[in-house]
Amino acid sequence: MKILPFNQRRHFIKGMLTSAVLVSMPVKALESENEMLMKKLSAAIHKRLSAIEVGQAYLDSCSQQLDSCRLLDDVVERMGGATEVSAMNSRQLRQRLGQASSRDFDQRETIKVKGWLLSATEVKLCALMALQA
Amino acid sequence: MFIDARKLEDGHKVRAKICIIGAGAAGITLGRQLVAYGHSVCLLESGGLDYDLETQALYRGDNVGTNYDPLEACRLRYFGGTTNHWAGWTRPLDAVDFEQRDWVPNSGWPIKRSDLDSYYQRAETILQLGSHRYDAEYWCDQSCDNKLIDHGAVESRVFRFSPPTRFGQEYRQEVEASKLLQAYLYANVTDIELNAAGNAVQSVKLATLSGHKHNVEADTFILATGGIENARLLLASNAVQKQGIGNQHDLVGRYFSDHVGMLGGTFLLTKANTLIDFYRQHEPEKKNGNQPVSIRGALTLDVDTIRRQRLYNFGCLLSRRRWPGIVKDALTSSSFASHIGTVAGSIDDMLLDGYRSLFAPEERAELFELAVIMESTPNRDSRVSLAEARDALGMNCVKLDWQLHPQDREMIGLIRQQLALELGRANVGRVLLEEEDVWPPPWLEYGRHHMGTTRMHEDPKQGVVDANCRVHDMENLFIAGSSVFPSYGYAQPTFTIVALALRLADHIHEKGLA
Repeated sequence: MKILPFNQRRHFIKGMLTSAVLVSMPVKALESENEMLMKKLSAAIHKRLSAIEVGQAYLDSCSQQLDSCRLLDDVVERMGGATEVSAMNSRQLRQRLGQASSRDFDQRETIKVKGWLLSATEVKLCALMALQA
Repeated sequence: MFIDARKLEDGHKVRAKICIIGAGAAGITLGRQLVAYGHSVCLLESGGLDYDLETQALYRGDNVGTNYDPLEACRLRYFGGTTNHWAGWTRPLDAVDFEQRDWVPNSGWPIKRSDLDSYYQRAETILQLGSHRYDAEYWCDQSCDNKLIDHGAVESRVFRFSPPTRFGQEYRQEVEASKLLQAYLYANVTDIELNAAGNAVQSVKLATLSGHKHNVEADTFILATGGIENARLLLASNAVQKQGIGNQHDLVGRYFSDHVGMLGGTFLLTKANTLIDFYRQHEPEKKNGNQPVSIRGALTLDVDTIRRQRLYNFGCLLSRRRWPGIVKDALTSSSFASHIGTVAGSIDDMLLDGYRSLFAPEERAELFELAVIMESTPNRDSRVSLAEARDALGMNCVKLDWQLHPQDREMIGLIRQQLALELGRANVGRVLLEEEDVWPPPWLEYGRHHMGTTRMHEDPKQGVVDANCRVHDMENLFIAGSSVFPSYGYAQPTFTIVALALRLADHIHEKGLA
């Protein structure tokens, strides 16, 4: 069986759910999945306020408004996908976050926030937390 | 023995086998070593045994290039030379510094680092350094059980500190007691006289500030008056070779350089149990009964990364010292840096994060300034030449036009960026990279290390001296000191100057030139 990549799978599921207007439960399931992922990811940074400060500084510097769903997709994708993230305990999650951050620096996927050179993953996670605040 | 040239009868003639001009680190090392081999040596020093203003004023000159110290303030003109005020930093040049690299214009020595290894070991004794160890792991082990910052491509290097050895004090008694070493004080060389064919030095003219004039004849001459004066004397000695001695290809005085220090960024450490003290000057504990040695760690990138990214060689010092205008309130707990520290600390190091959350929830970010010492581009347009003005002895003063190469600016940017990426990749910290509007930056530091003006190269069209430090096409004139460095590395030059002087002494002894 062909397994779709995470992003495609999520968009496919979203599309299916949108078209199935008669079935309201899966939409709620998706929302709750997003909430669950968001909650897990947020717990990786021990001071929420700091993450929001960094995230807001990034959002302020962006010319376009960022969509939290897309940001979540991006961050989760960088962490290995929703299935993996869902299955991780907090220790594993933070290890994975460290790996993703390290890989960002290796591949020059970095973002400058107020002059600080940061990994795209950590900045986007912070931006996500700022949007949720 | 010491001889005061002012007290000799005017017109005195000295006859010697070997004449060394200049009694600094290079000249004194050469003199001692050649005497140890049994040769008689005449050592000429412009000053006396102590600093005096009148002699020091002979160093005056014009600075017309990059902002620099007054030329009479950045070097010393008395017995012991500039070692009378050096800070004692030592580190050998790295193997890569000797290589010709296509991304470093005009780089490369005609000798390899391995050609100097044994001389570096001998130089350790002269500079009172103790054991020959420059590996960071060894010194870290001597210090304590914490870890170096080293992760991934990030590596630590070690600078060591001489007491510092003041050559004029440390070796004065030995010179005084020596029968083979005649050290003439207040003896200023004002002209190097060639034979009619212009391929050998016959004698040098001496003048004292008291008005006496003397002459020294020798079989072999060694010029060891420092990176600026070596060029000045060659250019000023133009009676036979009109462009100056060794200057047929317009190279004498060119490629002047100094080590530059620039802000590499502000580093926020996110790794717990890191041996930050290693990066300050300190004396590691004596685990094996070794002599206490003062060292300081520095950061760099491994040589593979330096090659792959086509970077210049560099060392990076960590310091809490504030550079003007940088990170205005970054050390306050409410600052943005503190938030970055919390976020990146959570990601990089659970131990640090856990510690902070449990015991120090408001802990300030640990910030360090990264001071990058980078090798600079050998730049033909950066030069020492003769000024119109003359000094008290009638010699042309020097004009220094120190020019940083345009590539230096580009390179410092690349190094800052790569170092920031590697520190992040290694999960040890994040770097604040501030944009530079002005070049050179107002806070540019330099080492007062005068290099390159009589560069070493096998091809006379590209260098003033050959691999043995002999002036091309001159039978009996050698040059010692950092003026022969064709490319510069980032290590302070004294250690290499002494090593090269020992090598030259061996060459002269083994070739029977004395």
